[in-house]
Amino acid sequence: MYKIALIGDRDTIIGFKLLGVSLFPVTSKDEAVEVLDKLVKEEYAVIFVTEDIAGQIVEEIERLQKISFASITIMPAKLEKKYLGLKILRRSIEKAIGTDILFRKEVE
Amino acid sequence: MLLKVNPNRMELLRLKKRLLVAKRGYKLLKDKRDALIQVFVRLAKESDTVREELEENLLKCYTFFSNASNLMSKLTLEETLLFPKAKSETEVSFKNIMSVNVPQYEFKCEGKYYSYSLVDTTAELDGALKKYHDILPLMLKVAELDKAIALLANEIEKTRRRVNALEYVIIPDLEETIAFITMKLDEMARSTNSAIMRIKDIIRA
Repeated sequence: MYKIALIGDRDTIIGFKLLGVSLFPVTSKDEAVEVLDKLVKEEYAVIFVTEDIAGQIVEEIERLQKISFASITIMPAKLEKKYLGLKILRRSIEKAIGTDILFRKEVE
Repeated sequence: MLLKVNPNRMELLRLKKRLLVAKRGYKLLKDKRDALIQVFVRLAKESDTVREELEENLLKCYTFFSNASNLMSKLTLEETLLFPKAKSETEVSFKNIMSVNVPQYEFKCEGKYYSYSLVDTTAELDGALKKYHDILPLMLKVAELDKAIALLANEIEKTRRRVNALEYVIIPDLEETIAFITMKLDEMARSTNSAIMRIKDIIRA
């Protein structure tokens, strides 16, 4: 059995507390990187990062996603949708097959 | 580019064998790449729709929860959230897609998550928690697809590089070298022939 972790600002993730998910409220970029580095070495299979934090540590997330066992996923934050997850998805699609196949609305 | 080998018969045989293997490997890898891309496109489209669904639902969850928390005093809410009884975990199994091991997550929630006094809390909180509980499997699904896509994209890039290396470098090089050695050997045969003919003429005369 593996654990589930949430990294993000406190207000967004606090609702998951009673479900027994491990919460890691962070506020700064350095803190987030530190927590993420620590979590991928532990028994976490899935790590969710809220968008506002993820936006600051995209490179770190993409790097760890490739090499670590855990799946690091971006979830939308409370305040606004930034479509960061979708952007990363598009980037990996472009990397893999060289063109954009999701002819969906523009998200810029 | 010519390979640096000695133009003799043994080298020729060796290279011919290598060319056969390279051609077979090229065909196999090309098939692998095509199959990977097929799976990848399917997953990418699925991920796109699932993610959209998740974003919509999650925002609804947030609204529910803020409604609930606004109806309670901050202190009560903190107290309520202090000691969770439930435990959410996930079971991981692996699925093999064209030799890429892709994880699959299954959501398990043990214990009741209503671990608070019903007197101090509002009904909205119950509803919000139920919504959060229901959305976790969807979140795991997105995580699963994200990971699969990252791994597959990596593998496709690797395979494509190998296919290209075989197609544009190794196979042409081998063919060129084989042609070179064949010509060299033929040339040597001709020169021996003519030498023998010349010697024959000298002896006769």
